[in-house]
Amino acid sequence: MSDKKHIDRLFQEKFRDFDVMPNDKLWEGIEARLDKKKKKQRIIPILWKLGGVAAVLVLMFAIGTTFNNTDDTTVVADSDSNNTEIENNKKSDKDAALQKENTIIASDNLEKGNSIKNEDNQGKDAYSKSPLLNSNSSKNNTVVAVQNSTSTKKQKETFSSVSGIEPNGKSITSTSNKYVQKNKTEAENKIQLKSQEEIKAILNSDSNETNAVVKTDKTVSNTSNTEGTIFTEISEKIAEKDKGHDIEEAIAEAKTNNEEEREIRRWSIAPNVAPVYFNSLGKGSSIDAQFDSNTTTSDISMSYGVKGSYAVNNRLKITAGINRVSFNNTTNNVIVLSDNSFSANSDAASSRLQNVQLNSDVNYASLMLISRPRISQNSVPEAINTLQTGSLEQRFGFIEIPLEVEYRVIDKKLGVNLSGGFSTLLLNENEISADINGQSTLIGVANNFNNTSFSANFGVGVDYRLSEKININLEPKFKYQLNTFNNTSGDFKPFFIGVYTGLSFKF
Amino acid sequence: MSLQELIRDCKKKNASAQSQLYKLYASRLFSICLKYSKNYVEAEDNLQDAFVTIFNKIEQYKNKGSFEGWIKRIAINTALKRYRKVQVYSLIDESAIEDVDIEIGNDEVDLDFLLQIIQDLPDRYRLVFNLYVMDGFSHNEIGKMLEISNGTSKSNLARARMILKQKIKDYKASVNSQSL
Repeated sequence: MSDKKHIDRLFQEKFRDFDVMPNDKLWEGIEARLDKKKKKQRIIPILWKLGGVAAVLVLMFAIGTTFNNTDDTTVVADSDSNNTEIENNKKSDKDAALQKENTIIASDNLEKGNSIKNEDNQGKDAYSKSPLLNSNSSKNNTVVAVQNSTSTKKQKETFSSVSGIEPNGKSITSTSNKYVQKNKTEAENKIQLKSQEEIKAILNSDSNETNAVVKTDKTVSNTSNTEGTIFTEISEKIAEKDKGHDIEEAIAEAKTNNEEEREIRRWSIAPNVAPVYFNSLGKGSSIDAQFDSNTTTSDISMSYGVKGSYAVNNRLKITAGINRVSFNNTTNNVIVLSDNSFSANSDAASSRLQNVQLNSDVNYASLMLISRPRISQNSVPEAINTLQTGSLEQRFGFIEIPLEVEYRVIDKKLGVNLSGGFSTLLLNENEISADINGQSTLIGVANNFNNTSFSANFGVGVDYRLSEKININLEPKFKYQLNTFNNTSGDFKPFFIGVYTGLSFKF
Repeated sequence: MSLQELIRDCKKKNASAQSQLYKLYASRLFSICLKYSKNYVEAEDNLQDAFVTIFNKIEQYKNKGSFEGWIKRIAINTALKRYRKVQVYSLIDESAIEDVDIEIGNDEVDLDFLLQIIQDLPDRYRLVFNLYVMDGFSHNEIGKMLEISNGTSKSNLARARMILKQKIKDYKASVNSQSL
């Protein structure tokens, strides 16, 4: 039994000092793959950022110009078509973003194509240099074969040089050299098979033969230097090809991609609803100077919409969205007279209200609107004093496009944000009705609205993280309207506040 | 620079630290890859994949346990991932083989030849043989790693040993006949 031993022991002893240095070029492949990942991570967020900003700008510009071009009377009727237009704009933005990506991909491909071309040329150089090769074999094969012979040659060289340095020099040198020789044919076959398809594609695309020849001449002097890179490129490609075949690895890769996404998750979309309330900071009227001292009331109305946000970093977000919002503002203590007995008073009522354009079906002559606080009890006929006071109700609405920056003050499960920015307000609803004899009657539209106006926004938001992807938000906001009305009287400083609530979905 | 510092710099994605770490461990990991892979080219692929994984996951190494053990495990796992799911074509009942001691003569056999016959083993046999004989994993551990039963692991090992023994026997016979 002394000369016999268990097979396990034989292998264990033999492989105890087994140590083989891989080809130097392998490191370059690893380095390239590490670099690629880094670059990818850097480039994509920048593109997304730029794309997002561009999309918002284009959206605002497009909608702004559309609204500026329409006149007062058509605005109300057009609100629907405007909505669809906005959607279209969104779509076209998406398309633009897609196109951008495509061009990037294309340029990427171009780059690849170029490098492949070079490789191809190098292959040809090597081919012309090596007389050993069979010139009768097809072009495709020779290119590959030359590249392979270069790579295996290199392999061999590094092998022997490295093992020469090893302390156990001799045995390993012989081993590894033999090893290479044995594997040489196998390796060659493999590479040939795998890259044949690629090379074919390259040759097909390389239609400009003369060009290629010129390039070949140029690269001849560089051949010795580029031999190495050929190998790394090939090995990289093989690595990539193999990946494609390995389903499991693909799955694993998909998993890691998911992980990356979880880390990034910069985009979110949040449908929201808000009760909004309109009022003015100072006393004043947007309708007519005579109502400056009248009290006004507003009902709470609803605003609804959706906003998207992009997180620049953990704390800072850029948000943009679109909301539909409408208000009413009632001027109280208005005496509304609609009686033919006043027709004699030919000072047409329309001229009394500086900012109202009456509907054509309203009988100008018969309508009078008088602010009760303005008239002294004594100076008017008894008939007027005994009249019930009514009110003047103004209704208006906007498509609101907010663009804001959000700063996260507390970044926990329960978070607190501060936000500030501005909204573009596009008028889409405008009417004034008067309470005549207890009946609300549409009398006209306000003619002092800007079709496009802006508001300055401030808000404090609280959100609660329901899951990785879903937050619930509550955000009271104050929006100060900058130039919604022209020609206002008194100290009319309109604003609105809203408490925006909704869910946000991160992706 | 100590290994700790090198690892710390690799966590910061420092390119020169990564290169140094590679130089330090490339040969040790490559010999693992050679044993676990089908051939030289696939061993290179596995080595590349293993190092890419190592550099991407190095933050997960918390300085507990040996670093070399950790990276060896990654190299082995890379190979397992590639070959684990490949079915062994087996016409015999895998659990039926008994694990008998296989002994062979103590003559000098070429290391190069031994590596070749390991690589020539069917994928699963090669993995089991390497895990058990070369890297000292138990059948229990191997079963979990390859998602096979204990018994399958044992019988795969027995089959692997038989194939290897036969090849060594044939090899010796051919050497002897040449020398005659």
